[in-house]
Amino acid sequence: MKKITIDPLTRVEGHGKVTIHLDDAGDVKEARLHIIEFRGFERFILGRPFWEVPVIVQRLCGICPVSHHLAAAKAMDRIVGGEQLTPTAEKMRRLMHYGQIFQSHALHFFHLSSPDLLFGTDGSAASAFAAPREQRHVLAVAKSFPELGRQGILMRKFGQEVIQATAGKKIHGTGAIPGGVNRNLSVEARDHLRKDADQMIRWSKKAVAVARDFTMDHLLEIATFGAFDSNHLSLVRPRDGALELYDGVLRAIDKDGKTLVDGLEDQRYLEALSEEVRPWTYMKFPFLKTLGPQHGWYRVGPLARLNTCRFVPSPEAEAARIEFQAVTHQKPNNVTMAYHWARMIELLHAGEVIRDLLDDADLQGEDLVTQGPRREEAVGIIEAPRGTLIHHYRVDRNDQVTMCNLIVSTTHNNEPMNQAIMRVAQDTLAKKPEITEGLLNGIEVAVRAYDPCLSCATHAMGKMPLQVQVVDAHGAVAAERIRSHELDAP
Amino acid sequence: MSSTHPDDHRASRHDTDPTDRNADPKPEADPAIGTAPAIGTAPAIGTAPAIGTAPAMDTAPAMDTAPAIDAAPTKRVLVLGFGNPGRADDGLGPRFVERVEALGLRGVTTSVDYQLNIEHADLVAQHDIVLFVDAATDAEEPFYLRTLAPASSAPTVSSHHVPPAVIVSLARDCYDARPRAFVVGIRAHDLDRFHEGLTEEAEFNLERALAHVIPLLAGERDFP
Repeated sequence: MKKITIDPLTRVEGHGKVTIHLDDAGDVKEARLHIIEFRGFERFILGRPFWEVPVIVQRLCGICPVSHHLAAAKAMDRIVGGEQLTPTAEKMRRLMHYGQIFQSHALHFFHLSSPDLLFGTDGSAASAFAAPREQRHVLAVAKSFPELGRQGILMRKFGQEVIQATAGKKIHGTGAIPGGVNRNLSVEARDHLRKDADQMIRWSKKAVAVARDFTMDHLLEIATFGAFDSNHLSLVRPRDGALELYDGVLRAIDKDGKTLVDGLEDQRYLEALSEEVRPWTYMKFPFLKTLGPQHGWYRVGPLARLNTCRFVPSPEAEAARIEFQAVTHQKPNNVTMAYHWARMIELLHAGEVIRDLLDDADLQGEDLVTQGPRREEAVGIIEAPRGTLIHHYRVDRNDQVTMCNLIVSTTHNNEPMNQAIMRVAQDTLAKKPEITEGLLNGIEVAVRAYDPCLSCATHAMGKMPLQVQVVDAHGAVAAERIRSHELDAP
Repeated sequence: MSSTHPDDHRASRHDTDPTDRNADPKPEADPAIGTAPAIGTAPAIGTAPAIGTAPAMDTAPAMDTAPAIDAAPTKRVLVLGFGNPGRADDGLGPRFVERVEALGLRGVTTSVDYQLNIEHADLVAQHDIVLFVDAATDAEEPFYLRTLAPASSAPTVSSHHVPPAVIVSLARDCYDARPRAFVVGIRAHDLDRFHEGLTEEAEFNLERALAHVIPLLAGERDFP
């Protein structure tokens, strides 16, 4: 079997190495996205007092610290018996979380993925909508679309300001504590955010339009590019199956929309999910137990969430979802590149939720913390920008953490990213073990659609750029190419 | 499905609204776009300088007790320090800013963050002179002060950190702002420990950098 290696991936959050394995006939047999950073955070956290955890776990990531903060806080709520939050605490956390969704989606779209969408085709069939190399960065977007670039900057800034107002800081805040929050929203902060909320929604609608038009204009290419059928998993609102990003029950469907899991409470996630370990990567492979590792893998994130939910509980985003779903005739959308459109619909939804929450007087309430009977084990699940995020802890009688398991969004999407890479490689290689620019770019475009954070997935920090190798049927490296941080580097 | 050719997305520098599929060559400006940034309270470029104030969401106010030192009143200066104070000498940038902020220099705004990201372009665009202050592991002792040109390509692959030159470039292209930009790189010796506080060597280098830069901020000497 031959193997192709691509290293590093650019414009994804972390460092990836890709190997493409060929069979004796020279056809692509398998693709592997290797995560080569050491996974150590679950060990690092052991022995720490449980109340420190919501603050410490934010060090996992500089982009989605709020997601880790809140997932850990939700678990610790149960440890202190305080999972029935006061209205002020629940809404402060919800506001913080939707601020996080807003800033992260805006940042990914404008900073990382918009060059793929805005600069059209490079003319090759294999990467029909990949931007030309010299335009594959945010500076080209800023130069060609300065107003759009400025909107992206200000949308990210707005989301960060929501986080700062609710968590105390834009990065590594302390707003959520076991059983509640340590602050309410000041009237000054509320008014400061309120005056910009409508503008954010208007700009979000424009971003939805960019992603929609890109998708519709390239529907034929997109339908096959890195595309494959899969199951889908996310939280949904318990009573009606609505899109729910802060707190809900697990729901999974198959490629046709058939329900596989429904109404599963977060504390019982292990009844439905398991993780497989493979020797060539530190990132695990989660799967639905009922289907097993071979057929039970699933997608998470914006695309999965729009597939699993019954509706989006905000009017503008729901209208956008209906338009989105019409493309697949109300069936689940299994197209990798549709993540971008789905992500922008969620951006719009987050903007609407923030605007509506800012009008809620509970945010200025004084009842911030609650508690009840103490527990020794708890799970916190949240829908982070990139997908379902699971924090699971055990705490002993001395208040020390004795077990920690984190299943981050990028880990859930591990097999889907491998599948996407394999499809791109199958379409591009055509029995030639050659790593062309089209293959490199196609792999990056496909992986980027999932917005992976490889730093989170391996629980390590750092600048981590992509390496691609082609490996033949006998394990020999037939081709290799390494892409550095510098886009202009060979 | 639209029949628009894919190349229609290859808009010119002035075709600024990619959402408008039937855009006139000179479309009417979106009344919400092209006005002063709605977020933040800092003045638009070309208005009176922000003397002694800081953007509400980015910095704490200057210390009331600090002596005011006059600076050239027409220049709005930003000192933007970045780094993680929980990683020993990586806190050099924030410590530098803390010291500058305590002086209460007129016309000087300070800001601190763990890392730079695209939204800093909005802040940078509101100033005439910008100093990015960071810990440097590959710099000469005790520090360097270098002019910074806008980036011509994107030497970054992640949104976890955006280099200063990219921030300056975004300010130019998205805001039509061209501040004079500098990088103050203070030699660091330990970025690996989870520790709050600088090494002795970094403290020494910090003092040397402050001694050189403060007169520039105070208007006692000109920037290079």
